[in-house]
Amino acid sequence: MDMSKYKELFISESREHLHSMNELIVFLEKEPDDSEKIDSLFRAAHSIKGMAASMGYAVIAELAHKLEDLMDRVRKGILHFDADAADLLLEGSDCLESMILDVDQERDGNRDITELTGRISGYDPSVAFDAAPPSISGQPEGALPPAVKETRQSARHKQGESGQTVRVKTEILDHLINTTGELITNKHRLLNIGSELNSARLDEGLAELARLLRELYNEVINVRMMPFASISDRFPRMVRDLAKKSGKEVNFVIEGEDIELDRGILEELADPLIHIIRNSIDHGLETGEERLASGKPAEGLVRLSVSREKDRIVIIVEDDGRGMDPAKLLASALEKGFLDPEHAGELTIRETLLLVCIPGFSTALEVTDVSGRGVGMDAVNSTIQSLSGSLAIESEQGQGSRIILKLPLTITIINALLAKVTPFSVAIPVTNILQTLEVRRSLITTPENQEVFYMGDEAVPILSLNRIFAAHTALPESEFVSLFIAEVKGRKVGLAVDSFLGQQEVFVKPLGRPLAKLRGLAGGATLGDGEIVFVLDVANLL
Amino acid sequence: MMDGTNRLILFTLHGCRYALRLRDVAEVMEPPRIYPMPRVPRYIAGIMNFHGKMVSVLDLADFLTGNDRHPQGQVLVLDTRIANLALWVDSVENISSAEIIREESECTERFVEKVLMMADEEVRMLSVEKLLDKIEEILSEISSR
Repeated sequence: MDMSKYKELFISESREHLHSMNELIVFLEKEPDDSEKIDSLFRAAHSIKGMAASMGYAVIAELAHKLEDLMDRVRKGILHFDADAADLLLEGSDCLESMILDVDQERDGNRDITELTGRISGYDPSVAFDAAPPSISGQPEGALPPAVKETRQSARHKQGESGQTVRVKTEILDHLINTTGELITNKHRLLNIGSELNSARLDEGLAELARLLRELYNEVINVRMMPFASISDRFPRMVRDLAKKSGKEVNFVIEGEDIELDRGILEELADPLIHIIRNSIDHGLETGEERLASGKPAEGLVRLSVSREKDRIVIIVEDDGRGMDPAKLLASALEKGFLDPEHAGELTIRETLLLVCIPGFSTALEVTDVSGRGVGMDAVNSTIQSLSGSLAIESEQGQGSRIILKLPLTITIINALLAKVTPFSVAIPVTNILQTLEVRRSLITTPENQEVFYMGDEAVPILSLNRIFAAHTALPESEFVSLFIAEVKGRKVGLAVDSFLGQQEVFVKPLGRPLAKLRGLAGGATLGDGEIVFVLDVANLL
Repeated sequence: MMDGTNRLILFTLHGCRYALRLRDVAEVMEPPRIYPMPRVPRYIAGIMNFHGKMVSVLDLADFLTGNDRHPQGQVLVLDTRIANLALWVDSVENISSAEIIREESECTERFVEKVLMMADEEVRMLSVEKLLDKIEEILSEISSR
């Protein structure tokens, strides 16, 4: 029988089981007596064994079988689940992952596991419980698969109460959103034509079309939504390894894993989050001794929480570590020439903390192999901003730090404010706009060659999009200047345009090669009359 | 020698003949409506809608020779798997099979992969990759200013 068509399914399901194995191992290390989790871990290993055996991957099946046996001994009370058992199981899980990767990459998936399986079979911890009579084989085969299915559904598809789920290729999800985006563009086209024809019947039909499209759009967005857990379930394992490596005790808490985000955003988020969490452990948390000396519990806390705030997702990574020292950050920025001494005093605390997002900036005294030398907060920031999100840092010395990410629910079809910057038309994602204003020209002053206006006590610099785009050299000479306020690099900036044209939902398409190299443009979108507008990547404009 | 299945599309630019591999070209069309783009050099004429995709239009005459483009001209849209780029050329002549190539020689001109002799006439075969690399390099440079 040709099994190749089942290979993809085997790989994706095995990886899911491995994910949950890692989660369970890390959990059991802390709560070794949770019999439900012990059973789940046993079943996960059992499932991998069964699938691998049926696909003919004998070595994978053998290793999974050894892990299952080890868990069986735990389950029967022969072994106590301790840190050594956890290490061994994680090592086994890593090895399984490598072999599954081999299979995925068309290699044969056979590795020499003799030494590892030897250690697993021969594992004999110093602490043993009263042994129950050992059984030779595991559970009867038939009893297990339904339980596995239930576990997966309850963990992954809490929203789908009916429990009916199907697997869909991600490309199909992308096609769905693309087609919906094209339909929305065409709706605007028809609305344009409709406004010229003045036909009540057509308008009625268009109104109904618009309603149906809105429904379709919501459904498509829903289908594309994935729980945050789909990326965060690997974090506890990573934190465990980092904690061991850095010799720190870490209590890692995740909240809001069920919150759903567009899969396009989720895919981009994993790396920035890994980086932030690594930073928290490596630079944020103190060692156990330091913590005890300053009256804190030896175990440090790192909390990753996700919540939904209207049409935005808020992700916070906080720790109760040493916090950041603004004075030290300022000094370092001055020393490295990132900051002009004259302007150093003008920075707010918030702006000062954001200095860590400047490329090449770091206050880490030494490079560690855990997080490197502050590498990548600039990369984190630019990824978040390219997703039309924002990053803020709060920190109190001795108390800890909070990195706050705010992201839109989706990035493909967005609400945008259209503006004219002659001869160009641009679309500004509304999530990037703090405020739009018409400022009387006489209120704009030019101290130090920089046009500014005052919002209350705050001097807000004005930059002309015309000038940034090199279209014109000066603001248009009208009595009022149209501008929108956005946050760029932690600072409020007024960006002047010729005029605002109105708000509209637009389907953002990539510019592709070679235009994707241009900074400050997130993509293009077609309006109802066929005109192409450029979607601004506001944070990276300057 | 060039693979016989490898057909070429021939076009002209200020009296010179050029070629691209047919498989790299998605479509030949009359100049479409082009929308201007911010932050690009003059030879990127703008952007067009190509079957729902955003495709930038390169004024090839301006880019290669610094001369103005032919006011009418034609647009060769590259396969969108390679790039979202169309080349504005003077005119597209025909499609030729590689059999009529008498000889080919290496060429030191930038963006020209080789020179082919076809019916006693030189035809410069453009290197799409070199063209793209150069434009990307220029755009990156503009972005880092």
